[in-house]
Amino acid sequence: MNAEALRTGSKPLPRRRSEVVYRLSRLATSISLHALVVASLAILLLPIVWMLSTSFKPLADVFSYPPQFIPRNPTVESYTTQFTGLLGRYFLNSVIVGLLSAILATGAGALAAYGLSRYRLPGRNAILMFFMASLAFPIPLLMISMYLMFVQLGLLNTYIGLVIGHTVITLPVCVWLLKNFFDQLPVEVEEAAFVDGASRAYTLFRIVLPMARPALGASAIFVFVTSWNELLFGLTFVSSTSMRPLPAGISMSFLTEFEGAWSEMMALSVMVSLPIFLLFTVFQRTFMSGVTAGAVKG
Amino acid sequence: MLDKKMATLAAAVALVATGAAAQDKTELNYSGWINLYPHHAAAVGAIETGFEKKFPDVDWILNDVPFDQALKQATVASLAGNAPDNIHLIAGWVPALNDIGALEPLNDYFTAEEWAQIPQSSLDSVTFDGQIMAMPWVPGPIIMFYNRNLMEQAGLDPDAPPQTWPELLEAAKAICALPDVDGAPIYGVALRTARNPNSAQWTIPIIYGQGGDIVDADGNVSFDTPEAAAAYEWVRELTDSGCAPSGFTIDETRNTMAAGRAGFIFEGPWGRGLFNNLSGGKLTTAADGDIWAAPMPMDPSGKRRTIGNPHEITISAGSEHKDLAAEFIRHVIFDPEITTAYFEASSQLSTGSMPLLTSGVMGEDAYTQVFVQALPDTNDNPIKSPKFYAVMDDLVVALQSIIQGGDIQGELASAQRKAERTMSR
Amino acid sequence: MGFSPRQAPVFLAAIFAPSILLVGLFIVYPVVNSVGLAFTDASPLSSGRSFVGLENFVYLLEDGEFWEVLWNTVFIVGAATIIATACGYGLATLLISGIRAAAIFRAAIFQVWVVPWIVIAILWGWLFSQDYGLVNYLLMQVGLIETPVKWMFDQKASQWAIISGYAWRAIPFIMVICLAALQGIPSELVESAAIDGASFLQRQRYVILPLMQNIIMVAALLQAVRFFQEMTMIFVLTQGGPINATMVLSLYTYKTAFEDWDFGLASAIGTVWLILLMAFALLYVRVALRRNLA
Repeated sequence: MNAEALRTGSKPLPRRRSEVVYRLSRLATSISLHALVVASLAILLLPIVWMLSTSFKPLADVFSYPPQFIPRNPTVESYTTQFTGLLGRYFLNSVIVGLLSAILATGAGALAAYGLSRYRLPGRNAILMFFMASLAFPIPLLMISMYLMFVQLGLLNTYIGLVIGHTVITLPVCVWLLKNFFDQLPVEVEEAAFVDGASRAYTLFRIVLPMARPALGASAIFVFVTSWNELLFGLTFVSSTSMRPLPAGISMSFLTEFEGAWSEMMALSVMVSLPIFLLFTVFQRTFMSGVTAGAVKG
Repeated sequence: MLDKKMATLAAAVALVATGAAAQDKTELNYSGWINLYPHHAAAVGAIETGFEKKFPDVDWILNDVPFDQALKQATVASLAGNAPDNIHLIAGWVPALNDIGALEPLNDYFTAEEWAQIPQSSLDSVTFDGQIMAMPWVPGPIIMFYNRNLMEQAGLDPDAPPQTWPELLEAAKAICALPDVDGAPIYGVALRTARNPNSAQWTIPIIYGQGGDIVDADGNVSFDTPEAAAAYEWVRELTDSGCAPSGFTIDETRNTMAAGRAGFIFEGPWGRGLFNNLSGGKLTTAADGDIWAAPMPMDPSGKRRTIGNPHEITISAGSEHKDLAAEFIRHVIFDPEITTAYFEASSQLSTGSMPLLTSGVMGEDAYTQVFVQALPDTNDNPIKSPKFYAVMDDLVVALQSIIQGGDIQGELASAQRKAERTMSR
Repeated sequence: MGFSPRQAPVFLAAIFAPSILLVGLFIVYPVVNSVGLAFTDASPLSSGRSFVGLENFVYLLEDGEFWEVLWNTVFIVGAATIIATACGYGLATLLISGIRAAAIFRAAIFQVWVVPWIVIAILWGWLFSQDYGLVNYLLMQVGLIETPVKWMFDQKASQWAIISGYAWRAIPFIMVICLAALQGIPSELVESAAIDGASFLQRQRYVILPLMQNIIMVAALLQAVRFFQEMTMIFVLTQGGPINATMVLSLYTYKTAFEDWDFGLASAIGTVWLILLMAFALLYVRVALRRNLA
């Protein structure tokens, strides 16, 4: 293991006298390393712990001094007050927009990525560079013209408008991620299929895409999460309460209502994070391999 | 297969998406912030059930928009052509929406007797070329609330609130000298100074209090005046001495007042309901209670003048149910049952109609009458322009800079330059 | 390698059609159109639209506010990226140093990356609350400060509050990428350096970092690009205040467009942003090329 080597250096045959010293120093290093990791973890997770802790406190205890890390009078009251129709509606809107965006961006992205990976297209690198660069295009600049377009097309205050918005800001990443994946798939499988007389479409849809399932999953999760996070389109392209996705809905309906009621705000925060948390916990392996493969190669 | 599953999923999603749109009743959409305060819930319920009882074929739909975002959302919706039928506004925003043709003139929707119930000054602020663009709803004089307990603790007479701005400063300093409670300080004045146009709007009465104004004789914006400088000096003296919080949002100032941690706050008629409820019932707003309301202090010439932030209810020009929308306005403004329900739930003045404000439960309510008496000194449109809030957004930068030690003259001059550009565009 | 496009023109057209349609209609056209709007006084509040030449750009470049916003953006994005990269790399090095239960630690840290921005915005408002916030409490306990910091009113403090939120959210991403890359370094390389008596720091300096630098740069750059676009936290927490301390390009453009409804000026800001971006990309490519040649 290189990790072992990193830490201890190489001491192939330690003599008896120094063995004790060696073991002790090894132990000390190990303890301090563990302490360091635990400390970093504590600092990093403190906000999340504080969020959970606050969400289970009655409001009176929220402002207690000194602060309580473990709620003395735990209650789930803050959670139960939130289950209003409105919050459910926001969840539903976000799920619909997120799923549709994930399907559209991953679908369109997979097709294009396959073409870019397999065919010697003129200007292939330029196309890839354009996709990469478009990630950095100012989103408000896009929104200005999209807003004017959507007014004309009647797409304001619709799911379709939001789905288009969320798709175009994630499509470039999908293309990159999936292209890197296709690059790693051996082309021989397809060549064999062609020899057997399979059409290109059949090969793509029945042979290649099923093999790409992990990458497609990673891409879809990425789009869904981005959509779940997105505030601006939801704020600007939607004007009725019932159509708002979560972030816009929360900033519109709940921030005023719960101002200062931190236990309820934290309960709300926990509930909004939970679906994404579950998604990642279930698909963590898929997602990690997808993201790291894409990024490390890129 | 994966694609089959995907197709099923897509179909299911599409079903959910379209299912929500199917309705057979006429929908009447209202947008505003009436529902965003928990203690208004009973009133919202009364408004909805009452209206749907009068019009059984109508489904009244509430669109929540927080106060901070209401102007923007109304503009977005109007430009997109899907504005709600009734839009809840404040007087200061009516010119902006009128300017883009978002509002329907109301003159012909109400009878002469109905119009006669509304004070002329309230109508003037929302009338353009003879067309009344909004119905005055909750009257909005901004006056001075004070914590009687803290006055007493600071050795001041709780029945004699300050009458001039220097007196208010003295009283505020005396109160903020009181010891901390539970590790948190007591403020003299809970003044809003977050980066929000309404923080600047709230400094206008202080400028009035120095005998100044924010428009010159020709009606042009004018921030760069000695009175404005004196007003901002007054504010800075409070914040520098820690007697006013720095950078608090509207809600933070209200929570501070409701926590009994501020001597004074400038608020409208909604103050009582907010403080009573935000304090969890620990504080009551009454002449002999914990918090009480008094007119704004006088300017050096002995004159009282304040701004109003009255709520208005309007009909959008794009509404397909304008008559119904007018009925909804009639319902909330002129139906005594509804105005009483709203008054009782929210503890605030609930209509622009003078006869209703001066009779029944509201007529007997001393709190209501403090505001009714302040109405003649109230200016609902300090700048009657579509750019009012945009200009306030220029001024709030100066306010924040000054509190942080910026040069008062220089900052006001800079706000003036920005405001002139804003007005000219 | 790869197939020749001539073998299957129809198939290729079909698989590229959806993305060409999406990208063309909703990325290329809007950008081109918005750049055009930058030379007009377009506003959805008025029906007419006239050509005003460079007026918007002249106003922008003369106005001190724009430069302030530009500097704030560079400062906030830059500081957050540097902190996140340093911490992410440090954590990855720690996790690969042979500690027990590294996988569990990694999974725990990764939870941070899962927290939605809107939640971070709300949570940071609570953590950095002036009177009751945990941050002020802890800093006072440790003795770093004597009186509570006005996080949302002091200009420097509010910038650091935002930076800490950005950096916090990005650490796991950098960490995961660095971890994957570190695992890919052949162990013989590091071992032989150790046999030669290289200390931990020397191994980092002469063996590991040179191998890692490209990946670290790419990860940091990707993160910086995301920070440039992100504004949920600022929108919810500060609205760009106090004064203009946390006003970043994205929020500034957005507010100019959708609060002042000045599409012309907003497009001009976006266009300048785009130009600066291209200049930076050009510079980056050139430096990267030179390094690769050397």
